Amino acid sequence: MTDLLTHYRDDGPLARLFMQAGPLRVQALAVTFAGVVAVAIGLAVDGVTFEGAGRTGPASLLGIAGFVLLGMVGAAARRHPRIQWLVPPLLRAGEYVIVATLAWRAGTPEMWLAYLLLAVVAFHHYDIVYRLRHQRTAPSHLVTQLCGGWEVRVIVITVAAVAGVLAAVLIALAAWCGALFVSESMRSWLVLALDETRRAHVGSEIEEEEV
Amino acid sequence: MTAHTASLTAICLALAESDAQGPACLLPVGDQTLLTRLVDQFRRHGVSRVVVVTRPQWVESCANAVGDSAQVEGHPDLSGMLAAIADVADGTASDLLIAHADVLTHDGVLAGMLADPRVRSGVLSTSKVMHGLLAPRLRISRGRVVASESAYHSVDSHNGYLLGICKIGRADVGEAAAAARELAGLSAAGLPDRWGDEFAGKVADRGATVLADRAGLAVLADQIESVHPLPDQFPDPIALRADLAADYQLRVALPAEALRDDPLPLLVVGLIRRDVMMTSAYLRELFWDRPLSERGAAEAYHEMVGVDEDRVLLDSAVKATDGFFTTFFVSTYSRYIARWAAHRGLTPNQVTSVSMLLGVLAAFAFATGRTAGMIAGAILLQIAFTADCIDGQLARYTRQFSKLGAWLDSVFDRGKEYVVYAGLAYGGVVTGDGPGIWMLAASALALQTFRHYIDFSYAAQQHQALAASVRGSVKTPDEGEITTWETKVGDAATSTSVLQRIGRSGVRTSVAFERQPWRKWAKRIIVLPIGERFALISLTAAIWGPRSTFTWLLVWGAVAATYTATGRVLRSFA
Repeated sequence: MTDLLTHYRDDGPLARLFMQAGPLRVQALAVTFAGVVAVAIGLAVDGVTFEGAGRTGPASLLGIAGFVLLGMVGAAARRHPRIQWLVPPLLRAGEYVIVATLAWRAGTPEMWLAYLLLAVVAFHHYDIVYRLRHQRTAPSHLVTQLCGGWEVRVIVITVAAVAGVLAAVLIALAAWCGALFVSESMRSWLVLALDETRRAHVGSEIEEEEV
Repeated sequence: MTAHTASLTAICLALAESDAQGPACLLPVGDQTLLTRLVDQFRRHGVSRVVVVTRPQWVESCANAVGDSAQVEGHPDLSGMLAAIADVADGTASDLLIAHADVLTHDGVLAGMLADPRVRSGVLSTSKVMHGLLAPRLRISRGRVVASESAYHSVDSHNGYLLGICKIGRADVGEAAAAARELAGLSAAGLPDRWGDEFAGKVADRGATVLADRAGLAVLADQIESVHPLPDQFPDPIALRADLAADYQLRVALPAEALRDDPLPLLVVGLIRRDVMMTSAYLRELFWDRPLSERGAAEAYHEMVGVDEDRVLLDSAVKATDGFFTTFFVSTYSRYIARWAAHRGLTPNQVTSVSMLLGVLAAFAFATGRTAGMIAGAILLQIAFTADCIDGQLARYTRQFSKLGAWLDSVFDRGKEYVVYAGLAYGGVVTGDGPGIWMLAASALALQTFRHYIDFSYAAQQHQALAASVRGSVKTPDEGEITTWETKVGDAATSTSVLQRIGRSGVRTSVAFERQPWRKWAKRIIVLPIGERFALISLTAAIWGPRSTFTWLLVWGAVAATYTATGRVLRSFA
């Protein structure tokens, strides 16, 4: 089985390009952590500079760019032998905070739409773990790539926010990812459920023979 | 009643000799022998083929005992028996069970081991202290057996014992055949270096312990008697000396002979060192023994019959690692509802689905935003959580494990929680909280997913480090460089000794802190597990409303995340 933590990263096509370029002589955890710090500072600076929730200004954009770039470099970087496990939670934190903050700045429908998208993305992130745990396989590679991975989703959301079409993109992304994630997951579990019923049935037939 | 996973093959090893110079497995228990009882138990649990492997001189008596219900093979030595196991494994497309023919235990123990999907390949074990050579030592880490004792292999620091039954999942049967052949080759060519010493040392240790027990008591009796009459309850020194030889025979000599050419523990060592994932199925409070005398068998049978199996099963259906709220406020009564549900024929998946439905209803109730709705939602959520505890307990009690069920349970747990967040946020907007409450809901969801990912990723890395640490050659009696797996994680290339020292002192402090039970519970409460979280949601929503719920979840969740992450970083370096 390939590395569990690699699956947990939920890399999309861009991060995979970086991965193929690796390995780079930097620590994955160090660069990912730096990326999270960058986005935190970027979002906070714009929050303080502008009133209320702030605005998506240059500081936010720089921070987000830093997070995406450093996170992707992390895909190609050497592993830290002991605390490598911090990387996937940090990638989750970065993506979720970016989506929530950009939606907060955009307004009312965006706020609850952001909750919807996060719920859909979280479903996928839990699905990765549970499926590896119970079925020993990750969700379909194709579906993961079609839904962008963490980095493409962050880029799409950020571009949409800057272009002022965040609400529409949130709906589209939630619908697209939701349909793909949920249907592909259901399919795999139905296959397994049918298999389990079939095996239980075979078992009961043997029992009847014995009686 | 239990669903079987296709047909199974079982090998019974009839090697131990009783004090009457016959095979111990033919000792009488109830109106059967140990062997026929075990074969019947296997048959009842879906085993379609039983092979009894024994010594050549016992083939006839074993064959007479089992009749057509099993085939009996005689093999003169260890390498022959290992080769026989390899042959059976090669011809098996299903799971393979290997057990000592003289094991006396409950039906429920076998059923549990066969039904538990977490034990694809694994051994029956106990963590209660066992004395003697018939229950080899194990070290178990996170449910995985990482080291096992055999006649010729030792374990550094053990925390469990191998109870003579091993299950090999169909995916690992090929590896088992290879391991058995490798071991057969090693033992046919005369034992490898140091194997003989290891075995002699083990027997001498055990002998010294048993003799010291007896002889020490006799000497003590003499000394007491020289001062004043012996108290009534003290064993008679003459008897102590008289049956010393018989006692040595029963507790040292016979077990040592049984262990000397016992292929089962050797095979377990072989599988572990080939990095086959061997998990542990625990005996818990149930009975297990390998008697070697008629009297011992009768006493053991009597004791086993006296165990209330249903009670033990129901108690062990409750997870030991649950949080404080779940353990003391839910599991105390939910286990009886689980038993009732079992008698009504309800399935765990039905209960799981009802729980999810109740969670959605709770979300709708919260979404009304009215006081009555908040209270109704709080109550519905608590009922949903109770149902959520019942499904797992029902599954363990009735042994209806399924991968689908485990997944459904996990996904619906998350689903319920995040649907309730949405319901609370909607209810907040309805009562004039402003749309910003959706941001609180989103933050709570993000924080909770982040916290779960800390758990998942940490466990994944531990799992992989463990797998890397168990590999090794079966030729070396001791574990060699594999001491504690923590020290093997990575090659310490980047860790400085300072980090390591901080880590170790952190872990020491944490272990010392847990010595008092209330502190252990305090630690479990701090991390805000699901029971505490759902109770917090119900309480705060019913009393103060959604905004307060999210605030509590965020503040407490942030403390929990910091605490967990810090602890695990320290542990990673220790």
